[in-house]
Amino acid sequence: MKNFFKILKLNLFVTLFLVGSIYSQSSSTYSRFGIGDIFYANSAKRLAMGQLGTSLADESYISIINPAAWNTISRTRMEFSFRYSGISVSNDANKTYYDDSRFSGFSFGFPISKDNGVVMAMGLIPVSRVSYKAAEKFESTTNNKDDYIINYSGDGGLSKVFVGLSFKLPFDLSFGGTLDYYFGNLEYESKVTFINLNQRSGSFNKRFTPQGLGTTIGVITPDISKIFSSGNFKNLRLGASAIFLNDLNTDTILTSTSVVEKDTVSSGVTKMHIPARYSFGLSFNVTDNYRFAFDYLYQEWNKFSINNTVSNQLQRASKISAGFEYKPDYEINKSAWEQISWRFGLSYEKSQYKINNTSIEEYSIAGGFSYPLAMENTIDVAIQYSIRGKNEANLFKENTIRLNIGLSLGETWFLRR
Amino acid sequence: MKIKKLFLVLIGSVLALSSCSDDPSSIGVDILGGDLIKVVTVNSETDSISQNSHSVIRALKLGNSERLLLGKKDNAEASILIKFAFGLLDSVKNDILNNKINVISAQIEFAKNYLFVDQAAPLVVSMHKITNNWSSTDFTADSLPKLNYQSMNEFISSTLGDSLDVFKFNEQLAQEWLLSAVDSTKPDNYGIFIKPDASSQKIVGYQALSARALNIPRLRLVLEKPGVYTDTLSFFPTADLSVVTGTIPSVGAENLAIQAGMAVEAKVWFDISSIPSNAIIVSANFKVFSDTTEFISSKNFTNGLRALDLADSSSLTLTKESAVTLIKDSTGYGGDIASFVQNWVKTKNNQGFLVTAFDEGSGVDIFAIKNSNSSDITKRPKLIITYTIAK
Repeated sequence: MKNFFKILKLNLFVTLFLVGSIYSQSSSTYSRFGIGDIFYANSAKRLAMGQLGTSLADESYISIINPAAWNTISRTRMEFSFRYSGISVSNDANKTYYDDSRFSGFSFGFPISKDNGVVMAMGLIPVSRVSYKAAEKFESTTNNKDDYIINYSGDGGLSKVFVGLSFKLPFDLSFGGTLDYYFGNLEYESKVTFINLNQRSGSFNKRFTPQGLGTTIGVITPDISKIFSSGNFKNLRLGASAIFLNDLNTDTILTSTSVVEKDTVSSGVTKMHIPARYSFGLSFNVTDNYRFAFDYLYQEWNKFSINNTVSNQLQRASKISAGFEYKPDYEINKSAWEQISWRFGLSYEKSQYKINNTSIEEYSIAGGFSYPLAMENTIDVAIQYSIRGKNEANLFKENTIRLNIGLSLGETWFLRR
Repeated sequence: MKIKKLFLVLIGSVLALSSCSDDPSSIGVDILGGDLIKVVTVNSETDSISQNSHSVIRALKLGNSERLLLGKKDNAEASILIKFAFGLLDSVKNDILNNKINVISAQIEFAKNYLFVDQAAPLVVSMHKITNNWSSTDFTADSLPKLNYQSMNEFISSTLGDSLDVFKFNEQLAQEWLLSAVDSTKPDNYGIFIKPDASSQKIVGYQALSARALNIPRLRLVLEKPGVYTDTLSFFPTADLSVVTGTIPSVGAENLAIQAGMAVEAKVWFDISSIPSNAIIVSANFKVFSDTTEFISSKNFTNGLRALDLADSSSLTLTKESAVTLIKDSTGYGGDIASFVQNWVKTKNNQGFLVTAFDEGSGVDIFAIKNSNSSDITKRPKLIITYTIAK
């Protein structure tokens, strides 16, 4: 119990840091549209396998994408992770580098009935992130007092708190669902600052503060590998999940700030419609040690709207990913290094962004490992390299390195002996 | 503990990585569409923005001034209203009630701290008993015609010095004030009205009643109780003010006159209708050009100019915007009236603004600035507005 409180304190620290860190700066102006960049994977385990893993049921992982996957969790689990992103943004003429680091989620789950696959889990995770800064400098040819910079910035994102259950249905079908509470703050600013005129400035600000409920449901089939009658081909499962959101009540305020005053130009409560997201996956093992996962996800972002106004810069998004995991057999006399799990993943994403009538696409490659600390306790590390966008149609390219470090803890709390 | 340490070391390492961001660049600006903004500058001179300006006289509340002005010079005539309080011992009160005390000398002493313009010029005054009530809190130049005072001149003599002016007046009036102070059945004491004679050729200023000043006006009475004592007592004002009346000074056809004291002010208006209502005013630099040949300044006081936002150009009432001090330079005065322009743009109600003396109660100095009809268009009042707006 003493150990429990120690870790609880650590989690509290982490959670507070997470809440305060969700809104730091990074990324590019692509995230200006919709609700910004979407987080598909909050953990190193999934980032390393192409981010999705809809059909992966892992007893040592609380899946965010599919709650049906919780049914194999046999111990109380606690997971949190931390992410570093370094983004090189370039167009034909310029290149610049941004980086950012923040906690990327916390989740907690425990089994209620192992026989029935009943597991309860909850957590706080970021859903999306708006994070950009761009600037244009204008130099006067006559008077340097007239030099000014226009800064454009976006900050914020959507997060969710979830609580849910998984359980087994007849025929070993796993089902899970969560109740999600979404909240966040999306803020955009356009600001002019005169460099030599006592930093005189004027700015326009838009702020959306959405909140509302949603649900995530998922299903995973039993092992259907037997139909192939192959000894090494096993644990073949299909999975599907969907996220549905009610229209989010969104406080909206538009302000202008001059040297004289901060003026509220307009304000009100409106609705933000975020379309449902669907994902489908297939996974199987070759022997007990090699696991493969293939996923497809789509979300009709072209139907996203604020105050019934859709955005021309959004399109139906889809993502295809493939992941591989090598997990050695657990043996008590093996060293920790010999028990490391290795992962590798690829993904292609037609993102939700369609800028200047050009679809913004992303390719990524990732790898990672889990270093065992104790039975079902691991430090998880993943690194992903991705390319998004292109240098045409007045657009730009992002080369991104993401490093995710997570701690995944399994303990025997709350278990009935 | 091992887990905790290892994890925190990893987090620390990642945090150490995240301090390499470049300054924001222009990459990605082009796609921001509706968020894009631009900066626009409008110059009343080069963009041919229409304007007009002329001098006006505004009625000011006069009681707050730190200076009392008295005299006459050219277009302006300054008068003083003053009344005193009488704090007396009970024994003295009884003697006054029983007519056992006589006032044998009465004079008002003023500490001089302003001169417009020539010390050697004559200052001749008359003093009159005020017969109706008045209040320094709401008295304006327009109130003066309603002031009742006796036509009889109570003035006896004056001693005008470099730092102190003394006006002797009829002891009988002082005797009435004392009696009024101790006997409620007697007519009230409304003080005295001191006005310049037409022959006066200068205006002087005195320290007015003020909580901060020591040398405020003083009523000095010499009282005699025959056969018992003769004593000199001093009394101080309960209210005072000065009223400057007259006409707008003549400073030439191409100039605007601004004169403190009488509140001659310049009303200026620019057509800013081309600025969109959702614009953010970054700066609005206003400049007026002096005609120094028409300036008339006092010898011992330097006044300046300021701008005041008008809520109603007909009644000359002001908005709640703070006054903007106009800074003097080698050619004139200027300041940033961004707050005014932002208010006009936002409310779509541009009534113009006033350019006034910085301290309107402390002198009668005359400023002359080039007006909107100046033949040299570069010398006309100038307004350069810089604003930002969505592209």
